[in-house]
Amino acid sequence: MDSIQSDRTAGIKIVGHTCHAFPAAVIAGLGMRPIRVICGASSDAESDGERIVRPDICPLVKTLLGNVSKKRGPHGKIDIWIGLFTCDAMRRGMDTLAGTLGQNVHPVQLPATRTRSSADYYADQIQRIAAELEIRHAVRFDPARAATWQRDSDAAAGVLARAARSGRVSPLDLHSMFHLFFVARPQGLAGFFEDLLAKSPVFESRKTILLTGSPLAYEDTVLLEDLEARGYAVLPLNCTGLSAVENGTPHETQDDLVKNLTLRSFHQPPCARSRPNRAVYDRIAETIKDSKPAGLVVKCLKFCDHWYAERERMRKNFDLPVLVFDSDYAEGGRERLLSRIDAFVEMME
Amino acid sequence: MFNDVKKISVMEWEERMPQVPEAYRASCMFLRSLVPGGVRYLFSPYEYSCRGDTLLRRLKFDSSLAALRLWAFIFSEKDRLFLAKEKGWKIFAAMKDLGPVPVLSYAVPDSLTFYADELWWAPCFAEESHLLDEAAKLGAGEELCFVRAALGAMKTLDYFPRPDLCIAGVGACCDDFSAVMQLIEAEGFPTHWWEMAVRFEPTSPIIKEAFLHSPGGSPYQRSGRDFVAGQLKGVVKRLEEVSGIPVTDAMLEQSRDKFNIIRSKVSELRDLVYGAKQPPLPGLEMLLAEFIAPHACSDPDEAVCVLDDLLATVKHRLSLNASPLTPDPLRIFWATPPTDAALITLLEDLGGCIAGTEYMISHAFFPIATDRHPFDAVAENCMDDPMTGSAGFRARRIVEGAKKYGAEGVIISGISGASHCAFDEKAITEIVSKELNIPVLSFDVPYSPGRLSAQVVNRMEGFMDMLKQRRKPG
Repeated sequence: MDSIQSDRTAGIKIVGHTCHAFPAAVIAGLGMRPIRVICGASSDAESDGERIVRPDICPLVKTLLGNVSKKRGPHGKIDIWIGLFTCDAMRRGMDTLAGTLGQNVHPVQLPATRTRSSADYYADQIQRIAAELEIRHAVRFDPARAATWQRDSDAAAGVLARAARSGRVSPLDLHSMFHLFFVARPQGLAGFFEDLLAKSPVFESRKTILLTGSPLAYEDTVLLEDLEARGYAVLPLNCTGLSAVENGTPHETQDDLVKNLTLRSFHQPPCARSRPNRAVYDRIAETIKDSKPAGLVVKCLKFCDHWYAERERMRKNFDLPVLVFDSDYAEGGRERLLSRIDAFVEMME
Repeated sequence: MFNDVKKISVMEWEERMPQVPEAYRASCMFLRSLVPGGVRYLFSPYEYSCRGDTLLRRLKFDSSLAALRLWAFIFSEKDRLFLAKEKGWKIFAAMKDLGPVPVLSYAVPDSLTFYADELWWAPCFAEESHLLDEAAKLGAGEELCFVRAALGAMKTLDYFPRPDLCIAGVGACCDDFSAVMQLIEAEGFPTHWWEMAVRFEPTSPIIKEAFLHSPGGSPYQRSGRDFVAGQLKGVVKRLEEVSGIPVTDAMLEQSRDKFNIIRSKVSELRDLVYGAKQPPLPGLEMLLAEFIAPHACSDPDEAVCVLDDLLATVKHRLSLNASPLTPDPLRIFWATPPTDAALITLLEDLGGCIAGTEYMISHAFFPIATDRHPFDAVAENCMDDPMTGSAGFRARRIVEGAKKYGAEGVIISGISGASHCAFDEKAITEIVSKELNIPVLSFDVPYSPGRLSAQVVNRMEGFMDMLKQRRKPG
């Protein structure tokens, strides 16, 4: 938060986005500070959001709107939003952010399909946004700056991926490291992570749980706390975990750096919203084969149709105990969640 | 007997059936190009209710032969689909776009295209939940809107035969049906995915996009249309592969022209009925007629005849100033199709009439441009889809419609679980209240087979009472 404030004081625009498929380095190349805002989850923020939209909407969208309306936390320091139209709820949430809350939102559609033409369409839109930011904010895209950001980011991502795959970092520490990766400047971050891992005691896990599902907000830690207390390591195969730091399908390198960075991001491992979403299943299957987890947890946000509707298919596809649940950020949900985990752990043991 | 103008019950229609002239029955034929002379379908609503759609017994129907034909045409769609499949035609299940894809897919000879989405009404009309139960077994439960019935129908194949291809529009679409389509594909149904582009607002910080205007008057970004045109080309390529028939530009143009005829007739019907002080046709028949526009109910040729018949009836009634509704009804604009069709009957029983609609298919009423390649023209039509843009866009379309048809109030019947309804309702209420200063009632329609939801009935009664009060001088 301090570095965000100091950047603002120095006249650097803070650019917020919500999806792991957004090429943050493009923003860095424009001399702005990109941050991925998957935080600020609380019962209060959700209630604030419910003053703007109906309660039966994704909790992450509600907290985003609630936090912006109260200028709370990092949300209150965002100058420009990249309105990534991903799921329907986020698309309409971004419209509300621009309309009702009057924020500066640059819309871009993240295609659900993963074809070459949809990748190109996405890249064209990111190029358009970069050009618009140049004009509107009198900045120039600096390829060297973008490339440096990406190189540092890749280095940090590499350390994180290895740490997550090792199963020797506590679930809560790992979760915090991922969220630091989303908001921090990447310069020196890899070294910081290396130091941290070297100095921290190794987490001796009894078993490993594979976690997938909706984005896991920084504060949404009930599941992780409980599993950690039981001695379980967590392999986070979601967009706030390994999907944000491991590259997916190889892509062609383009001469145009913005396009190249965009295609890279576009080919990060997709979430359940992708169509078809077979790749999500293949990746889980591959990880089960390699890491032999004791169980699979599909943690969905309430009203997240894309993940929650997959629950029976998940159970059918994978030959290990599967726990699927949906939750919001309300205080009252904690006990319900803990009892579900209890039953799940009993089943595994 | 058929010249009286009123609303009648299912049993009253049954009593009238023997008097339906044989010549008229013989003129109502579907699939004339498949079966020499066509197949008769003019059965009574009661007969269709006996086949399973028991809600028909609770509805009231217009007393014209044209309306009888309309009901029979709509409810005989599954007969067409099964017959066509049996005779070797290809069956395509379009999904989500609600209008554009059939314009292209009907260019494929010896094929029918239906919308799997429209199965969302089936559990309500059948007043039983087996399609929803089947969907729930596959993971599509109550958190999704009633379109999940399409998944159940794919599983049971009660309502249509196994499609040769599902054509799934995703991207700028609701989360519910996107999830359902994915589950359909996962069940092994061959699926072609294509991306629908989000329509951006020209007022957003966008300055590097060229904005054009569609025939429906919507501003849209050119890059979106060009992208969608490429996607639609991919759809036709896949149709060619599945059918084994090359689709020429001439075939596409012929289909486009046929759909333009259908669309213009539905538009004319809407203007005549919704624009009249005393609507010459009830709201339920209009709802059915509007839903012919997206895919011609699996028979474009007969759809034209059905619409011609309705138009002739409507024009005749207008010339006589005849209406099946109570005099001087309260004029209501209805947004989002009601899951329970009986709510339209209730509205009219409470002294109202439908004066304009936005059933999320309004793009299917606009003409497809003929001065450019069909891919570009149909892509442009996609950019008119109210669901691919902001809730504010849809709200403005509703405001325009309510203004055009002189609505005194707006009802938004939300669909439980639908990802867009929670956002739409607020935006529409705010914009309508601000720009038109007329009352808005919104509610989600629960699934209540065999009866109307008491809560919804109470709210509609209160709303109609309030509108009556507003009419009183002073």
